[in-house]
Amino acid sequence: MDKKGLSPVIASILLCAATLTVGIAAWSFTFTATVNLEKSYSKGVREQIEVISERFTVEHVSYDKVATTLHVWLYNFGKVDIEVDIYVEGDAKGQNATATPIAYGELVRVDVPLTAGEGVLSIIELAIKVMSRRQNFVYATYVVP
Amino acid sequence: MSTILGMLIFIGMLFTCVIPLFLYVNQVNTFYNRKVTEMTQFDQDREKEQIDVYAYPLSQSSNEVNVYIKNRSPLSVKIVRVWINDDKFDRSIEIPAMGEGTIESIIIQLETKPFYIKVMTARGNTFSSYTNPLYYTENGWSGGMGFVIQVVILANPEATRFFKVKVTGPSSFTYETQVVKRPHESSCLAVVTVTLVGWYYVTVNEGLISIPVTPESVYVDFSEPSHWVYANAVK
Repeated sequence: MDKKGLSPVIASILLCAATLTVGIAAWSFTFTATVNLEKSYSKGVREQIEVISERFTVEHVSYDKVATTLHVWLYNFGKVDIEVDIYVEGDAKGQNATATPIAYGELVRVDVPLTAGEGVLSIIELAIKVMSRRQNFVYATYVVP
Repeated sequence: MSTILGMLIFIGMLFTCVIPLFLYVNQVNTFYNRKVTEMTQFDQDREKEQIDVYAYPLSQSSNEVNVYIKNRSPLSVKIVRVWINDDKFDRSIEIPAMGEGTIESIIIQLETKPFYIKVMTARGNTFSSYTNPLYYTENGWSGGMGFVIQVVILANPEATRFFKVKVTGPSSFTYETQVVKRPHESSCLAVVTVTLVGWYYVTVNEGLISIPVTPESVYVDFSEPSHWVYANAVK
């Protein structure tokens, strides 16, 4: 009987080659995927740690009546450097959204130019909202002496 | 043969990719939890800080102010700054737990005005001096803890209400403060420290509405340094 086809040896070699090719490709893909996963996970956790390590406070506020500017002293007593924006509401409105950097352990004065609200004769009571770029907030009130 | 190879590759993937990923994530999570614990401890320490601050001039006409600090907390407290009105004075003094210390010789510009003194701690707490405000006049220093007007506002227990207490007195003394009466409270209190002997006038407002006050004016002197004033805001 004249039978044509692959011999079992060649078939085995071909199967092994196919298994190796597919296996190595899958291995390589999984390795790259897990390395990327590790990187993105650690980056996410690091960012989250920076968020929970932020601590800052409005240490002092003064108002320059001539320049109609509010001086806000911010103290970063946390563990990381921060960038903050300040928004003022109340009898006057104003903001300084320039992402003022404050290194940890530092005190920085931020100036906020104010515009008196409609119908307000004199600026008396102000609400100060300080927002870090990592979305932490600190609030303060100020009564102009 | 190919089955064995496939199995080997699978086991290789398990040991070189999946298990290291699992271990790495565990390690990162442990690090995160440690940071959370550290910050929680930091916040608790900050809450525990309790110091009494007393600022006083060295003499009746001195331009030097000392700040005495009594630490009443179980932690040592580091003072990083002293504020006198809008001027800051960087200092670094560590007050041991339940200990005391004095920040000495803060030179100020003498002007006829009130001086408000506060200190800042490294943990981010601010403590005002009990002797605030200190006054400097032509006759020298005055003020301190002597003269007090206590304003009691009586109100219905319902609702949160906001009152503005204003006290005016001699030498253009004006003090304004906002008092909040919270739900289930039937009164609230404003304590106003005044510095000079003389007549003081008290007004209490709720928005634009004036609340009747009894008595409307009090005479503060050394024989009667403390007065009680009552405002009736019961509806």
